[in-house]
Amino acid sequence: MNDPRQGRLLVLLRCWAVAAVLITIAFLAVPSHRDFFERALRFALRHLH
Amino acid sequence: MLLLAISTVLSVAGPWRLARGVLPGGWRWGRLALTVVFWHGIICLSGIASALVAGRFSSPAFGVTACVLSLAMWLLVPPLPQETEVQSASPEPARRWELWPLLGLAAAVLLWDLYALDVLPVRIHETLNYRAVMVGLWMQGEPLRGFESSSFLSFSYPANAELLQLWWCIHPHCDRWIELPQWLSAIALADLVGLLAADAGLPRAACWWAAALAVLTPAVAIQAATEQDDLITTAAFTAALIFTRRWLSGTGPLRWQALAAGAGLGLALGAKVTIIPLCVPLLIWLAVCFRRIRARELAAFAVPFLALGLYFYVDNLVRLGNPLYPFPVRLFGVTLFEADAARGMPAMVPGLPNLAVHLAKAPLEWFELHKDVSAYLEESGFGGAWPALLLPGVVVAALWALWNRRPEHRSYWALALVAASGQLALWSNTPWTPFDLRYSLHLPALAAVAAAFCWCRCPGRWRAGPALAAVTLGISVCGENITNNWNSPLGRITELRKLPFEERTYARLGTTPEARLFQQLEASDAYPESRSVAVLSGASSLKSAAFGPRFQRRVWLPDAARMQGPLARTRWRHELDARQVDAVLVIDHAVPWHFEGYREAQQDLQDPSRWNKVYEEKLGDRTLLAFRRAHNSEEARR
Repeated sequence: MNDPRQGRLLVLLRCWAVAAVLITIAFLAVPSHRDFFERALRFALRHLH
Repeated sequence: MLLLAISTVLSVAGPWRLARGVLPGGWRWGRLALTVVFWHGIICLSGIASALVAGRFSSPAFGVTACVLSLAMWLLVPPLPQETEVQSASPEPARRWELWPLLGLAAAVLLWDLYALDVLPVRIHETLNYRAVMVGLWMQGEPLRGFESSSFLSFSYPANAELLQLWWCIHPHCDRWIELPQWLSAIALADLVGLLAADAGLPRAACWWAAALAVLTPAVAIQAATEQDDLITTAAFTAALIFTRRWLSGTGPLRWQALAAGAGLGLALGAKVTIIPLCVPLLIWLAVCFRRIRARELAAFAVPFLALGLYFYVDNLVRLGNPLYPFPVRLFGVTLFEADAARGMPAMVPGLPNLAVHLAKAPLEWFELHKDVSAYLEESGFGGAWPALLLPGVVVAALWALWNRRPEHRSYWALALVAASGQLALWSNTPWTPFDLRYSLHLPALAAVAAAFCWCRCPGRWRAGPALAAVTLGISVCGENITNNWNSPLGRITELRKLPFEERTYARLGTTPEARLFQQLEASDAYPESRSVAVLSGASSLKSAAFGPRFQRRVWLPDAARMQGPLARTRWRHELDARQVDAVLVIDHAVPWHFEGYREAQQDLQDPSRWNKVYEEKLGDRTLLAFRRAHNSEEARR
């Protein structure tokens, strides 16, 4: 870990991990995805009956 | 069915043995992908050879030729030495919960696609327009090229993908499994991603993670159940990229890596013209490394590349005077071959303006989040993982490689440069359309390796973030693929699966105006129970529905080019009699009625002593009409 390049890589990897989570939340929060999950749930409930 | 099973098993044996020789060690799952690529190559070669010799396709000739080529491959490949490729140690072992959910989702997508492709009929616009037309005409005894069709792309577009589809149609004599080459190619693509990750020294868990990410790209997940050709082309081109890197970096037995690279590139080039700009940087890469390449390796690359890649272009040049007919061919501002203006193709003028538009619009599409997965298929196809995981992963991996410059990184830099410059070449040669990114599905596949590199090097708890993001996005892709597979909502699948195979038609799917017109036509009880039908339509109409799922109807599709000129007036009646046509369908959208042949047809169809109009329906800008031969006319004909 004394290698500064490894330290910089770790910072980059943590940024990448955080960005992945944030962009995924943004992706799922948009209305069309909420509609899709509702639609899928309604379909599953209808067919489970 | 028995012939299909026997010929498939026998024709796979040779490619499997060769794949074992090409990949004696390392990521052994890669042999599966390589088997698919070699087997697809054998199918294409045997299709071309058997059709050229016999003048038409036949199930026994096609099957036997494929088996003979497979046997030759089995016998000619010498036993290769076992080789252990160096695998670097895992930085940190993955936990089960980080890997298995994503693998489970990828497996669920592939299993669902297998089910959906069995139940759903041929339904994709392009296929109904020209790809299935090609297969349908071959099934009724037309030659490999030079047949008549109103879809000019069906006699001028490179046809490796259609030959693969024909394999799954000609033996069982139905189109039930016409989508299977795409599904197999999706598996091959994932497998190749795993191979590249293993070559880069990533641990096994990261290889599987990358492979699952590749399958969960929306365009890949959704196309795997369709009869498009983008996955066939992408898997073959990705194989070419990966095996060229192995060859030029000295990984594995080199002659056989060159053979695999040539087979992949040839297969892709003979399936889609969009590969031409993509493969130019790859050929430049070979030219740059020319001094290191031995003659035998070059021959092993060139023979399958030329055999699989160039036939259709040479045929176009000889028969139609332009290898890329009907597109123009321009090089550095000089027009080498003119476009066929009569065909009404959009002007494909290469140049920097195209590139500028692509560079401005594509990143916006990548990061535009207000779309569901179906829209992603049409507008970008790369899905949420591209902006969230893949593209940032490429940036991080590139920065890491810049900080740790090592000689063994060179081939990966070259691979990235070839992929990026190929994309720029593709973009500068095509005008912007929202469908363009399905031509570049190798980009998310390659980027998945960079993401897996970052994932397996993430420290401890930080790795949970990308793992959860990948699973969440995977659930989204999986769910959307199941509930709203392109043009086939789940409600339709549950309805169609109860029907016998013959009734699971494009018309029953009813997802487009033309499908609804065909649906009403079938429901009206006026659908001609005929064996020979003429279909008058514009070039882009969805005419292949006329063949039927068991190819039970002979279909004549008058080509606009043959329906003009003074002699065309007599052609209509002559062809009707020669082909014993007893019904005519008119999809009245962009039919060039002013051409002499069509004008004659229009006048003839208005003659009640010869034709009875049995159906007419208008929907939007489309009108569908059906005519049957009048009874007395039929007697007179007999």
